[in-house]
Amino acid sequence: MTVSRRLAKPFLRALGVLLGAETVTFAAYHLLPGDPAEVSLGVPNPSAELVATTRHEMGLDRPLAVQYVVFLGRLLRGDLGTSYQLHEPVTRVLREQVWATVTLAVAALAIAFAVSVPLAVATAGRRPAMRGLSSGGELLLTSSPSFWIGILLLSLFSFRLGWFPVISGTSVRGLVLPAVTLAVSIIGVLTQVLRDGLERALDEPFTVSARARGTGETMVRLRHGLRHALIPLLTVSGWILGALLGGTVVVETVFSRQGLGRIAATAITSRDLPTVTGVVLVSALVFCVLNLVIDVLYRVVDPRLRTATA
Amino acid sequence: MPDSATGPRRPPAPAPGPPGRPLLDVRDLRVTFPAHRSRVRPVRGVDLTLAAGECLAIVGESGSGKSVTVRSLLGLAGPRARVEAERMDLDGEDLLSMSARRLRQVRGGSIGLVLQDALVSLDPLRPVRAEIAEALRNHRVVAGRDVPGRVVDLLDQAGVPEPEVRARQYPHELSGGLRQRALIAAAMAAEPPILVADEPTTALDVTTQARLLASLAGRKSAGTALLLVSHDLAVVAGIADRVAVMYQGLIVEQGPAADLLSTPAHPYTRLLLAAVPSAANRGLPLAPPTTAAATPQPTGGCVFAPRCPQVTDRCLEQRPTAVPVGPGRSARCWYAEPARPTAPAAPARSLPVQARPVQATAPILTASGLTKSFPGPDGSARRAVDDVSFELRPAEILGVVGESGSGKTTVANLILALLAPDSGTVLLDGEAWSRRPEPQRRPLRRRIQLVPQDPLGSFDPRYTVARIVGEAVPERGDQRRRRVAALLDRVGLAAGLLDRRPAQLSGGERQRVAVARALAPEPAVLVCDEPVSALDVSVQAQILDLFDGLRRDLGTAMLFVSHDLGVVQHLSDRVMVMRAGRVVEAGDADEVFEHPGHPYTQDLLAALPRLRPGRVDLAKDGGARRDTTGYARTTGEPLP
Amino acid sequence: MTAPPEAATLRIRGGLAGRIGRAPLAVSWAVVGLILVALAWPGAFTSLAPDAADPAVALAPPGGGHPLGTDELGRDILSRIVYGARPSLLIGVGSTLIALVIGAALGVAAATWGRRADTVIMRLADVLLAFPGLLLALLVIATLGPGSTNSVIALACATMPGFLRIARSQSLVVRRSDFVRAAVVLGRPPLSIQLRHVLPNALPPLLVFSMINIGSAIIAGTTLSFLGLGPRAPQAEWGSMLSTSRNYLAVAWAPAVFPGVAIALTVVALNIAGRDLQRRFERRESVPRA
Repeated sequence: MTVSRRLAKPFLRALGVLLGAETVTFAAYHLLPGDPAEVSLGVPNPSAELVATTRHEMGLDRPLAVQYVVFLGRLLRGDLGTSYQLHEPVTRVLREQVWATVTLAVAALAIAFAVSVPLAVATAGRRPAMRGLSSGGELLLTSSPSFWIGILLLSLFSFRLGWFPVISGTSVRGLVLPAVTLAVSIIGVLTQVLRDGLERALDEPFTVSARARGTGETMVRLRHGLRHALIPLLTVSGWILGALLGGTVVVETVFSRQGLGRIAATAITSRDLPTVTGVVLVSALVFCVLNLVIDVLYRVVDPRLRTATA
Repeated sequence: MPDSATGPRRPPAPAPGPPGRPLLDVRDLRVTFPAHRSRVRPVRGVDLTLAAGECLAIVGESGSGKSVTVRSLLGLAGPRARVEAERMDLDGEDLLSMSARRLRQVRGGSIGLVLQDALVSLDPLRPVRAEIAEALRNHRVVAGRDVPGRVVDLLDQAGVPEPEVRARQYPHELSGGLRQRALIAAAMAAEPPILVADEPTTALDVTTQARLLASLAGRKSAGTALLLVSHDLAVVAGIADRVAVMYQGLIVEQGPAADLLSTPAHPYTRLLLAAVPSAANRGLPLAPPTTAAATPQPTGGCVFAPRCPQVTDRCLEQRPTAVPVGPGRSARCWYAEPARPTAPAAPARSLPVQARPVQATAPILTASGLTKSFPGPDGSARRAVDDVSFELRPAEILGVVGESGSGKTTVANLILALLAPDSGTVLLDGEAWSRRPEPQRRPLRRRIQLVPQDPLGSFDPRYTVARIVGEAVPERGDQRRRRVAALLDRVGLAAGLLDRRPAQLSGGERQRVAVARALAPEPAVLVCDEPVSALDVSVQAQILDLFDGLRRDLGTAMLFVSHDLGVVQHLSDRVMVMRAGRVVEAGDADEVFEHPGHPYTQDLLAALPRLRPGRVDLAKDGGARRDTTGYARTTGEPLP
Repeated sequence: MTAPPEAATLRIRGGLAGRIGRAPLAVSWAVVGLILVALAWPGAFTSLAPDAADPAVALAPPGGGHPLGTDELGRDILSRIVYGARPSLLIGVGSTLIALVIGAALGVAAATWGRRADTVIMRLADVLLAFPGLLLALLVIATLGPGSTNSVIALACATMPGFLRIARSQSLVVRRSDFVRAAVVLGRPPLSIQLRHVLPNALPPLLVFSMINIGSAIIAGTTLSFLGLGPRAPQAEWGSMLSTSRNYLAVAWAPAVFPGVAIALTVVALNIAGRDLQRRFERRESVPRA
């Protein structure tokens, strides 16, 4: 079977999921207790006439089914409407903000891996004391909300020590604390999953075979163990992505940083629905695409899956 | 490369030492593991030697410490193991005081290790060639650019057909036999003078096993010393020069294979030999009667005393030392004496052949033209069972024998109506069974019961023994408990087990509980799906005795599914040989085994390892083509 | 952010579970006990009211009459943490319970009612899972508006798919198990098999998952409050306390530290206690042979 045909099924499924996600946001849009027209006007107590005109302009007086089709049609053309709050097309807002968030997420992921992989390799199945210390630390990290960690880092490094700016802006220096905060929120789980996968692999007979061939302990871990540990890592990668995307909302708010997350947070408090819808759809899209990539990565890592579906 | 500092120098492979000095010399090896509040002592003082070009087989049941013994030779007994020995020399060099780097040179360089079940012993994420190349690079056997060619050569030498293709494949794409050969190729890459093989044939079908043993025998005749670990005396009988029998961390008897197998000196060796089922001991008990549990003194006493039929007070108080019982032989028993094995010391339960079911009685179960297909991985249907027909009469045992993938378990599921046949029918007591709707069949299900391969999995983990068996009993309350206790008694279990959970039982006890549950609804037919394949041979003997007794006392008919020809031959009245979903041969058990008509049956019988190398006649060798190693057909690859 | 990944949770089997020392275990259960007392009878820990403002001692460091210091309005931080336990835990426990009930029901239904029901239910779960954790909760809040009840609903929606998947896969595993097969061979009726064998064996992993999910739901709940989407202003709540503290980071550290310690301590304690429960449960099922 060709690669394209093998990918067709998950791809179609992702499309279906996206359509479902759009329908959910559309439903959310129209289930809102307040009238979207009133919200979009942004003036207290508008006249009934003004509301009626706005409703007509926004197409809210048409049947729901028609509105749904119009909504989908606009989505297909890449039109997400106009932000109530910023009075700008949502697509432009998203385009302007997306890179700040991507930079943050990628930096955080890089930091997390740089910490987790060596930590897992060094502590897997070794000295109970070190291992216990490490897993205790991981439990503490996973149990602390990332906004609190952000506040603590901000308080210490920006206010007390003055090493990093309080408002992070777009500079590289400003990226450090937000990226560390976001990384900390996933390091705990990442290390646990990697170490667990390693320990499982090191328990398997094939590592005994490898050692019996005269392979050294470090090479056994890197060559045989780590690759097996990637499989459970892929299984939780969806969660990690979600944690990164959701985490940007928190981290960008704590550090007053530009980005999709901060836009989403303010849009929710001010009930700027087109913007919320836009952010949610973009995240869902990213999520689906990355899940497809993960599907492919599974096959790259595990040859058993390649023949199973071929 | 961790070894890069050593330069291109190859580790000095110990050449066969001066005559008289063994390659391996181990005295009083002890291994302990720390456990919860105590220590586990899997090896309690093992002495062994291995000379160049010799094959020593260590035989023992599960928990005897045989695997730990050989792994500790390579320092691979586990990170928490404590290994001590008076002497543990590899060609004069002390293995225990070796540096980590020297030990890595020994692993693969001086001693190659092959583990059982190559599916998990080869890294599933790497192609086969990567594993062999790893061994070549670790020991700098050839220059880097010659590695790929050498990998192919090694696979070819190990008897892997199309080595170029196989080298690129992953373990899951190879058959069990080829995987095991690839593993041997990796272990032998640096041409170590010693090859340690830990249960190398356990997961293999009987014909594949025969070819693999022949291949190991080839290594031996090429000069490699073999240290073979197995639970099966018959497997090692044809290849070992010397045999060491292990029990609870001690070698209880060792000596030249032919002598030890023909005139065992230790009661445990005798028990093991008597427990091997075959046609010769059909109708005779395989296991000795259970003695009242004798507990030896915690400080001393013979480890085998609790199970020994000849136990005396002395055995309980003093631990026997290894005493010589013949040229090159020793045994750890106060009463060791080489003797021809006799039937276990119980009155032979006679089952005259005439007492076998009369063919005139009406069959309970009639299967005709059963066919069942499953969708294969590529979507096309694969016939698991193809046009299978048979009858089963009261008190009759019909053996269904075949290798993995022959469809024998599917037949069992069709008979149990857990699967519906695509075509064909099953009749129970002359009435529709497979064609009946499930709600109507449910009240009749008690007539056909199942004894599963894995009893533990067939018990609800939350249930006690009383509830597990009680679920199958119609009575309630106190009456139910009494009935369950009676059933346990019938299968030879004490009522004290009633409130145990399955995880607290031994393998043999679990299988007895499963039999008790199957007997509870008073079935006419027992479907036994590989019921003894997971058990040690001495426990297997007890369970086989139990089945034979049930048939005799209760008149229960059995459909006995097994891959083990010896078991089927021992127990069955009639036999059905299956291959790729079809019945290739069926008939009276004696007839089929003595005069196999189909070439496949002949191959199966020829591949069956025989005990007592000198006495091929034990199992009548109809069609068995034996070569000098004791195994037929050393070339060619597995039948599809 | 909302639900811990299933693999990371279920892996505890044989992982940390066997190696928790006695001391952390005792401390964890003690913390769980203290939390229960704080929920039922907050007055036991402090005589000060959580909303008694005293501008004279605003942003006081720990010490004197305020063991953990005061906030920007001079309210006692200890008192606000103790009284804030109720809304913070309510969101975690409430959303987990709702997600457990709905997820378990749908998951068992998907495993039991045949292929079509399975497809429909699992596609719905896929749609929900397409929204990364916190964002689904945010979307629900954006629709329903902020507040405690809506936070509970939002987090229940976000965590439910995880419960659904575990419930479904557990039911499938148990239904295909040899002991269910054995019950069929004995001729037990399907309903009896479902009630005696399938449900009792499929539910325990869900309960363990719930215990651990409560911890992460508490974190997610306080995160919503931190973003200003949780309980309304005068109500003391850990997340909103930390949110306010950001404006005074330059002058006072206590308001930024102690509520966070409360969250972390609670979640760690619940986590360890949950693993302990799981271990006890497994030991009951499979006692190694003596």
